[in-house]
Parts: sequence; structure tokens; C-alpha cells
Amino acid sequence: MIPDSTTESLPVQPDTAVQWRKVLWERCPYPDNFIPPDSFLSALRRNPNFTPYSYWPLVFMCCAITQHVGTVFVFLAIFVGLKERSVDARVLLWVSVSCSVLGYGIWEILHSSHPSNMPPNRSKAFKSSLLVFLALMGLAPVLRTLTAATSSDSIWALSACLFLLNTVLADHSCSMRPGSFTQERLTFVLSMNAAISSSVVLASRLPDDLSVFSLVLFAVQLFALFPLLRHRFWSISTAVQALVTLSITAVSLVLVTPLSSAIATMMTGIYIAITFIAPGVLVWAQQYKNEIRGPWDVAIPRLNWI
Amino acid sequence: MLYQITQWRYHQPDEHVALSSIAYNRHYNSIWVILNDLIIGLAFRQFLCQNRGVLNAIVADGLESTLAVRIQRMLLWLDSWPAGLKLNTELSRFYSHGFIGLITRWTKLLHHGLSLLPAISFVVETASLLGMTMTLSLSLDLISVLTAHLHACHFISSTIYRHVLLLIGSLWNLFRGKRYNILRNRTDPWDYDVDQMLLGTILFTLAAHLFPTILVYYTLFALVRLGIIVLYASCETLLAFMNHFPLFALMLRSKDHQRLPGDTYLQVNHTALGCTVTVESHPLPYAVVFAQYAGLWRRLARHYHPIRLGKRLLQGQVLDTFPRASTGPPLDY
Repeated sequence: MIPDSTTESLPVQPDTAVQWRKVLWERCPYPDNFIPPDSFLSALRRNPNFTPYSYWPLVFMCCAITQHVGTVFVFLAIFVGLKERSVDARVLLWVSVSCSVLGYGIWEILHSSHPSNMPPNRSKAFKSSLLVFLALMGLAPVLRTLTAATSSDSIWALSACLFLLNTVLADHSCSMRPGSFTQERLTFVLSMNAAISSSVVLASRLPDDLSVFSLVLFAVQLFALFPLLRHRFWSISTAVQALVTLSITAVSLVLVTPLSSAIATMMTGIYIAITFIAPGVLVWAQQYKNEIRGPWDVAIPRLNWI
Repeated sequence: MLYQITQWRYHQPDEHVALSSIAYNRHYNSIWVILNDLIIGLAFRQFLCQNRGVLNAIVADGLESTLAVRIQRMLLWLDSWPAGLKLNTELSRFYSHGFIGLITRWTKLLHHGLSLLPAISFVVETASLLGMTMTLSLSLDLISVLTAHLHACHFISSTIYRHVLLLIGSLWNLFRGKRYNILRNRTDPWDYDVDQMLLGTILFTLAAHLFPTILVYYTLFALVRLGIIVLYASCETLLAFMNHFPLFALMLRSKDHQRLPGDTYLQVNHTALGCTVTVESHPLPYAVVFAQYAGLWRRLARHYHPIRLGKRLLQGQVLDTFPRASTGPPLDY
């Protein structure tokens, strides 16, 4: 609310000889809350450092979210296929093994294209992938009987919650600085862990050990390794990005359509909403942006490293 | 007491009267308590001898059904998806079969032991001649021998429970991308490798789903152990109180309280010639007579405190009985 003391509380006519100054330590004939009418809120600034988004760059940034949602749908479609025995577990196993080899190759090419990177540690990567492979193979029988006593409904609810957590917390940032290649930080550890444990829980509903093993292995590829690779594509070009997004959505739609055409339609709607409608809404909503800044704000120290 | 008797011989007439009074009180209190113990023991022996047949029959019938059959039935009940508990079928079967096998082994041993029952009852009766406390101690030992299988089951299940709890705690840290820093005694963020994360997450999911099964079996044996501990605690409290009852001091105090002085005061009597001052003594207050009891009770209460027992129960530590380091130094007044 605007204080209207300027009109009411003027018992003393301002002496033209005494210039009003915005200091309280000096005696002057004005009341304490006096302010000249022309200088009221003159220091107010609206949206001072605001750069409006434009539509197409936003669409490309939203591709990261679309890719993530697409991988979740691909995983769910594969799971339903394995459960209804329309997908062969051995085929899935070979597909995921070859995908990982291919992905590692691409990763290494991208890695070596940058001269500042250290040479990749192949033996370590091989050792840890072998370790995960063998440990999953050993744990598969245990995982299969893990939730035998729990009803399926609670499993669906649990995995839905975990996938939601995974999608919300995932690393959707797409400003990949080229210098930060060397230390690939797992910033959103919780997201990946939620996806893995959700897929473990889902895998425990499958009928035989081999499908449990191949599904968990596929989940490891999809939710732990693929995001790392996907993140690197940002440094290449937006065309690659669009291609990856298109292929992921196409694969998920192809996998889902034989299961249920209604769900496929819904997924198409979700993809379009995330990729095209949501950026448009954001661009439209920018007209309501009203950020008020002024000398009353807390001062922000300017450091040199900016 | 032997020490006191030997000291009595070297008693010198010019010794300090307070010290000799303490020695006197101690000596006679020991004799009184022992005699009383013997008398109660004799009476108890009489009771045992008169009802020997009935008692033997009760023990022979009840022992196996309470200590083995009931527990085995409980384990079988837990194995058959009871009360909507989401137990892991395979782990639950492993647990219940293992424990049933262990209890069956013990039952075989018990059958050998039951053939010795007349001899055991004879030993208990004879031990009653040495005093009631002897009988109590013997029955405490018998309880701990007879419930050895339950103790073993509790030990196994609590060990597993404790380790799984520890595992879940550290894997939960890994799940959140943190690690316990032992040098600074806090949890710090930590960058794990991808394979560590994957294996840790899968193991965490596994442990979290198997935990209810482990918890249920642990709870069963912890409750059984708790029941035995309560029995033990009451017997031990009784034993400790019988061993240290200040009978002689109480008797002296009721007979002539001047013989058990607490402290002295000057009594001033006004007479016609002026006044006479006499030294009188306060009798020793009851709080001092029973001071040792209070300390003993405090130690027992601290050991068997419900909150302490509950905490140990939750942490999966083995519930132990009162430490057998004898119940304190002899009483002195």
C-alpha cells in the first residue's frame, strides 16, 4: 500500500530555503515519513535482468524431459511384454548387451574427440560391468521370489511412486559445458536409485530367473548408463538431440501400440504436451512476469569470479 | 563369615568400641541370616518331599510342551503367511525349518535328561538342606540349562537382525549418495562409482524387502527371551534380598535401640540445683539399615529397566541376565 502521508501530514509548509534530503540525522522541517511526490518509488525497477525465452530453444531443452519419459515408457512396455511372454528374455538380453557395447563405443568416440580428456580406463569399465553382470546373475533367483507374498497392487503403486520420483529428480539440465567432461558427477543419485529399485521390484513379479535377470540388466542400461551418454549428446548439435528424441518416442510407441492403442494415444498426447505445448505455455506466461527490484533489496556482493 | 570368626579370636580389649561393634553386628547378622536360610530351606525341603510325585509329574509333562512344542507350533504358524504379514516365503521357510530342527535336537537331549529327573529332584531336595538360597540358585541354573535352546535361537536371530539393520543403514546412505565419515562422526555427500551405486541399490531393495521376515522371527525369540529374563530377574531379586537381609540389626533395634546408635545428642534437664546434661543416642534410622538394599535395588532396576531392555531389543543386542559379580560387599552398620 502506498503511504499517503505526503498529502495528510504536512503541518509545516516546506521552506524553500531548506532542501529536503533523505537523511534522518539532519534537523529539517519535514516529518520523518515525508517524501517528495515526484520521487516516490522512482527507484523501483521491474524485471531488471530478464531475458525472455523464445519458443524453439525451449522446445529443444524440453527434449531432455521427453527423452526421459520415453525411456520410462520403453521400460514399462518391455516389462509388460516379458510378463505376458510376448518378449523373449534371451532376445532382450542380447539386445541390451549389444546396446551397451554400442553405447560404450559411442561414448568413447565422444570422449576422445575432446583433446583435454584423459584416456578412458577400459579395464576398469570392463571390470565393473562384469561385476554388475555376475552379481545380477547371482541375485536373480533371490530377486524373483522377493515380493511373492506382496499383492500386485501394492507393487504397481510402489513402482509408480518410484518412477515418479525418478522423473521429478532426474537431471534434465542441458547446458553441458565442454570443460566438465572429465568428472562426470552423478548429481541426481537418488533419481537413478529410485528407478533401479523400482525396476527390481517390478522384476520380482516375473515368472522365471532369466527374464528377471535380463529386465534388471536392461534397467541398468536404461536408467544408469543411457542418461550419461544422453548427456553427452548436448555438446554435439541440436539435430542429434532431436533425432535421439524422435527415435526414443518412436520406439516406445512401436512397443506400446500392440499392447494397447489407448495408452499409445495417451503417450503421444504426453509427448506433444511436454515437447510443444509446455514451452508454448511458458512463452505465453512470460507476459505476466513482474519482478520488483529496488534499493530496499538485500545487497548482493559482486565477486570477481563472475 | 569365616574371616569374621577368625578375626573374632584376635579381638583385643583395647580396640575402638565402634569398630568392634561393627564387627559384632556383622558377625551375628551373618549367623542369623544363615540360620534363617537353613530353616526356610528345611521347610521347603519338607514341602518338596511331601509332593515329590506330583511335582515330578508336572515337570515331566509340562517341560516339553512349554519349551519345545509350543515354540515349534509358533514357528509353523509364522511360516504359513500369518495375519497378513508379508513374509518372504523362502526365507521364512529357511528360518522356521532351521529353528525347528535346532529345537528338535534339544528335545532329544531333554528326553535323555528326563530319565535323570528323580536324581535331579533328589539333588534339589538335598540342596535345600543347605538353605533356601541354595535351592533358588540351583533352580536359576536349571532354568538357564533348560532354556539353552531358546537362548541359542535368540542369539542367532538377533545376530542376523543386528547385521541386517546395520546393512540397511549404510545402504540407505548409499541410496541417498552419502557416506558416513568416521573421522568427523557425521554423514557427508560422496560420489560413488556407478557399479557401486547399482549393486548397493539392488542390495538395498533386497534387504528392505527381506527385513520384515527377519524382524518377525527376531521378535518371536526376543519376546520369549524377555519372558525368561523376567523370570530370572524376579528369582535373582529374591535371592539378593535373602542373602543380605539385616535381620540382626532389625532385631537389635526393636529390642533395645540404644544398642544400635545412629548419633548422639545432649539432653539438658533442669533441676532445682541447676541442670544436668546427659548424653543420649538416636537410634539408627531405617534408611541407613536398609541402605545396602537401596543400592542393590538401584543396580537391579538399572539393569532390568524397561527402557534399557526395550532399547537393547530394538538394536538387536542380546538380552543378558544380571552380571554374576556377587551382590556387593557385606553389610555394615
